[in-house]
Amino acid sequence: MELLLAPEDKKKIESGIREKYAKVAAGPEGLFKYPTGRAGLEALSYDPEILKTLPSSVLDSFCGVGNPFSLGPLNPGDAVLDIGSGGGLDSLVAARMVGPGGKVVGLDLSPEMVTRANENLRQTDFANVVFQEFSGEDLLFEDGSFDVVLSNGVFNLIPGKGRMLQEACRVLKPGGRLLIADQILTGTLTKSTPERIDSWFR
Amino acid sequence: MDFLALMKEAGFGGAEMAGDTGFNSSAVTKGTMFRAKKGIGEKAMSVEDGLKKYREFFEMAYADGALDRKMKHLVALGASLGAGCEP
Ligand SMILES: C[S@@+](CC[C@H](N)C(=O)[O-])C[C@H]1O[C@@H](n2cnc3c(N)ncnc32)[C@H](O)[C@@H]1O
Repeated sequence: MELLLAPEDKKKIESGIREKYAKVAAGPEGLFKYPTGRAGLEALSYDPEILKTLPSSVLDSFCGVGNPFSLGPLNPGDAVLDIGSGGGLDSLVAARMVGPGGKVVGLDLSPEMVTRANENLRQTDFANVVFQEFSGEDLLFEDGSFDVVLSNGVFNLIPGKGRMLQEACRVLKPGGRLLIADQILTGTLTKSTPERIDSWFR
Repeated sequence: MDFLALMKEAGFGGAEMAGDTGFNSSAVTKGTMFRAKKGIGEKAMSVEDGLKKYREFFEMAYADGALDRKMKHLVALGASLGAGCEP
């Protein structure tokens, strides 16, 4: 699973991801094989009371593949990192759960996604959420900065899964939790890299 | 190597799959939940790290302070002889 990739190949994958997600940032509708936006959130049983408090444009931009909060609620005051935060839905749900005493950082490789997340954030009154543009493979945070690291539909896109997991572990406090929703292989992928990235789309 | 093994190698403990989500992005993949914790079953300290920590402790204990280093060593010698230890 951990592929050894030449730096050029890694760049190719990353630029492929950036290109695809520049489109998704405008709206994921019709670009995935599973329901996105509000329909996806309802099917995954996100807490309707929390969804009600968020602007509809953030609900629309959801394209996750699971509900990380189904693994247990976050605690008030928690510091949370959302790797591959996309339009920022999970980050904002997390912000609601941790309250004003907590904080949330969402990061994403795609500049368009970060812009979309910031637009979504501006429609809320959260003062403790930031979205930043960088890769989950190099986390610019001190050791032990977070209580929870979550990630929704991102790891399978990443060539350096092991590296990203090590980074996630490093920035977690001892006893901190990792909550992931992702895709795992049930068959064989024989396709080339661009097709692999494409396999996320119809 | 599978994802759970990668999680363990990265230093996570209690790594487990926690069910399918029903959201599949292609015919050959399926949505799955994972969870793990930092700190349970973390990688054990290496022998070198252990020795280094012991040396740090030893140096700190014998550093010149209210008693100087030589005096501390003599006290330790007396104490270990008194306790019947091999100094
Ligand atoms: C399927 S979307 C999920 C977005 C969001 N988590 C959600 O649930 O709506 C995957 C996201 O991962 C981002 N991504 C891919 N590789 C990344 C990397 N190395 N570091 C950070 N983000 C990455 C993509 O830009 C995209 O926004």
